[in-house]
Amino acid sequence: MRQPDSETTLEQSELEITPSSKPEILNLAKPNSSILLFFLVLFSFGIYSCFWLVARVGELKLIRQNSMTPFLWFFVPLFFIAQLFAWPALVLELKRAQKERGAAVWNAWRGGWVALAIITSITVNVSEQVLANDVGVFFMSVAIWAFLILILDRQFTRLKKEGEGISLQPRSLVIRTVKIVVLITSGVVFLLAIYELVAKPLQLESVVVYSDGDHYKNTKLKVRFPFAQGGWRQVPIGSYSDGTAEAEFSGPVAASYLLVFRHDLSSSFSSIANFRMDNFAADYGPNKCKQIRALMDGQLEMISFVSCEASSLGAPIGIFVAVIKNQGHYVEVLGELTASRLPYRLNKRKIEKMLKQVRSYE
Amino acid sequence: MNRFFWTLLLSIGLSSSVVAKHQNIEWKLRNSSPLIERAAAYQKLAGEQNEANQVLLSVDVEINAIEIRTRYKIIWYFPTKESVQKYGTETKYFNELNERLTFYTALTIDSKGKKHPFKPSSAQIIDSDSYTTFSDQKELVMAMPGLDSGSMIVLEFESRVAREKLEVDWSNIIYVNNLFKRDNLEVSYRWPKKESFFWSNSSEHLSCHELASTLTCSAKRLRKYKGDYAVSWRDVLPQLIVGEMKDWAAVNRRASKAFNLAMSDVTGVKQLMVEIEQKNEKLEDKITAAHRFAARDIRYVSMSEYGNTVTPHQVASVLEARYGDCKDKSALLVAMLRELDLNAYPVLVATNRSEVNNLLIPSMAYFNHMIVCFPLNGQTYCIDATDQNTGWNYISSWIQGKVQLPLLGEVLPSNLSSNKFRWELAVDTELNFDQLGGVEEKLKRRFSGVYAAYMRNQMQPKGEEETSKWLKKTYRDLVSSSADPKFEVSSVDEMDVDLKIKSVTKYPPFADVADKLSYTEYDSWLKDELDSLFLRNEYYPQLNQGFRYKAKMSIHLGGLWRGSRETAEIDLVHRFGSMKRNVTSMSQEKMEVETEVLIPRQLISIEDIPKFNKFLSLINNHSSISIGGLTQ
Repeated sequence: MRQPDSETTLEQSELEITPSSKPEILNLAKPNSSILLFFLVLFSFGIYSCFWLVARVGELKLIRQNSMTPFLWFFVPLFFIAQLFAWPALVLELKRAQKERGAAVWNAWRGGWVALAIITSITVNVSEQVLANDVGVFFMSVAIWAFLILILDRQFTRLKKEGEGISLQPRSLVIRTVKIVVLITSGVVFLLAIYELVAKPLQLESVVVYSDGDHYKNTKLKVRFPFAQGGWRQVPIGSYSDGTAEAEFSGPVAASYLLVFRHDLSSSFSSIANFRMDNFAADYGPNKCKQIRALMDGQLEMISFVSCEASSLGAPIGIFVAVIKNQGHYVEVLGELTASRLPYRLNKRKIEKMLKQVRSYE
Repeated sequence: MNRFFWTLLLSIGLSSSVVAKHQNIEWKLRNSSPLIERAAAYQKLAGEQNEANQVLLSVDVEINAIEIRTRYKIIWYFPTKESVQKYGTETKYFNELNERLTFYTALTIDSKGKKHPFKPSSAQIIDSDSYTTFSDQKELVMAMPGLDSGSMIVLEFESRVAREKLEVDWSNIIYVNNLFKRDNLEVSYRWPKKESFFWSNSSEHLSCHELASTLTCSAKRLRKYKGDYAVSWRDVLPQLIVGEMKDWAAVNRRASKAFNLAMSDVTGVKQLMVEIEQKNEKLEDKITAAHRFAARDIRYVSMSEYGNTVTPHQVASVLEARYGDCKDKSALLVAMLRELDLNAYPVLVATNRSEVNNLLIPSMAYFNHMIVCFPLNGQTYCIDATDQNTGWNYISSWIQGKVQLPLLGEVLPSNLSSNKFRWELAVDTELNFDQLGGVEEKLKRRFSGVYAAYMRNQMQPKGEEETSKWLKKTYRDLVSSSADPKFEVSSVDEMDVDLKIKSVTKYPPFADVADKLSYTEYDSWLKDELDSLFLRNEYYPQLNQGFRYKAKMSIHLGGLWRGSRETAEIDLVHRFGSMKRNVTSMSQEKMEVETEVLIPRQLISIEDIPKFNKFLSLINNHSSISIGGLTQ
């Protein structure tokens, strides 16, 4: 969920300081509305804070004539290690500026802010890399991050409003309008994402909730498989498929599900596999799939596996398929998974383990 | 059945002679006897039946110092026309060199009770010996007259065998059950008190009693034996055997003595081997040359006349004549290999038997073939000198696993070893798409071991031109009729190397180069091999002879497409064998697919035959290779 390019123009415009005939007076842009800033950061999933930081550091550079390089600060929110050094340095520089210009100095909770900023950053990183059910944690972290930016902005506002030799210039109507438009647009996207990733899965009516080791048995298709992890929920037909599945399951990771399909004997192991692989190739490019066929438990029954993996917007995505032939039809169990890297790997192993144990029964 | 019938008629027409006054056969036919009355009485009370019934088989054997007299009494009942068609012709095997037959009764009683005597002038004798085995058997064929539904055949005859004319031990085998049901089996043997005879009975239905040099056996209501697609009935039928040999060492001594007679004159062998050794340096090459000489330069002629039915002719005479049968060639080869300081020895082979346990008592009568074995570097090699195309590193396919008796003193019969994989084929295929969407296929097939010998046997009689036509026809039948392959065959006349068949085939454009590619390549060679591996037995275990297949296929998409979908990797592992396939993408437009199928030699039980066939079907169903490509 990237911000539109116009946002870059917006923040850069904040750096365009109008030269004054009296050099000791600095003309700076009037501070943002706190509410506007909070929601811009929140709706942009924190990306707006990168632009905001470049603008504020630029102002500090003008105020203190220091050697800071504003554009480098764009990357500070993105790299956790950099923050360990950057936040204390920024807060210190802000304090000095406040002191030099005679504004009220930020004393209370300064260290607390630095600590909280670092913890929030860690949480976002960890939720992206480790936690399986990371969507809720991620949204919560972004909200906290927006709040922290708001606190920091208040200190910059205090400096600009109370600091000597600083004149605040109103922002142009165009810029304000653009900000409103961006806010509304990103807000819609944000709410849609919340709905898709958090609200919708929660809304799915659970038919059955499975624990680790529970077995799913389809008495019509005479097929069964175990769940290799808890948190799987059987949901109504049509929740994920176009209504043609025989059973559907929502996974413990937000973007994971399993679908059970029946194919008649006009299909084959190859045709089912080829259909999935061709679809995946159409979406994510060629040669992303592997298929392997084996005998089940040394018996003369075949099981076919297909796995296709690619990345979408930097995050891994995969489909995993097991097909068996059973009593006059083929049964296909299709799993799909999207998550950040580590949870993807962990959950992929679980799904593959489940698919390997798809069996028919009498 | 029809084919067999016509083949039999043709055989009779071509090679038989009318034997009204054959020197071995005497006719003293009569139209009344207790046996005929017994048959007539049975006919009246026969009742409802639907298949041929041997009402009586009586075998009465009397052995004295001079001869062995065997009296046969046989009564048949044929309730249907089909049973007449099937069993209406009587046959009797006999040894022309030492056996005389006297017929006392040979007639038919038709359904109305009328008697139809057999006319001796219509008797035929055919030679039923098979190629490459030694035997002195002839077959008397009697097409019985006047048979209809409800009719009977009555036969009574005597066989007399002169003991002094027997080259080996005497023995007699009665197969208790047969392809038809049998109401009564009555067998008796009497021998001189001064002599010892030995017997064994493997039938639970035949009860036998030995008392004072007399053995009497009888059985009633014997079930018919169920024939099967691939089974040697000698291995499975319950049998009674009576013979004069005490142990296998005695059989071995007697057979060795006969063989050593042939080795008494080996003139010419030393000189022959000097020439061979001059032309070859390595011992392996010398063995190959000796094998080649015995197999190819000595032509096969069956020479089982009196005195040489089981005794080879002297080596010097075989070398001089340049012809001989299996035992003659074996004696020559033993002499040649011994000149190379190899401890070569002859081995008797029972080509019709694989079950050692069914050799119930020691006798040479089971064996009908001879080969040569020798140890080398801790391994035993066996050469069939009648096989012109199997190298000495492999045992000829037709005798693998058969019962053998090495003539090495006190050695018991055992099974000849068998290759774990009798049929070995490797196929290398290169498929190159051209710019128009056609394909050039470069194919290399490599046949190893006995499969190479089999292919050489197919090709050598044909010659180069006929072979090329045959290869083309095979290719068209199995692969495609839409192309015209060019063949190159190498090593056809060799014995010890793989046989290679290369071909280049250009297929006209079939793929739309502007569209995405969806291509399936059927592994026709694998499919063809699998077809021949399916087992068909219904009642008895069947041997899977072992099959190893390796295929490497390289597919070049010619810059027209980039691969978007690879074929499936296969990992089928089962107790019957395995199929594994690995796929390697060399680049976006070239991929290699390697397939290996291993089905080791194994006896498949009757319960497992459907499972084994299903295993073959699974391999068959996954033999094709399917890929997808997107336009560049």
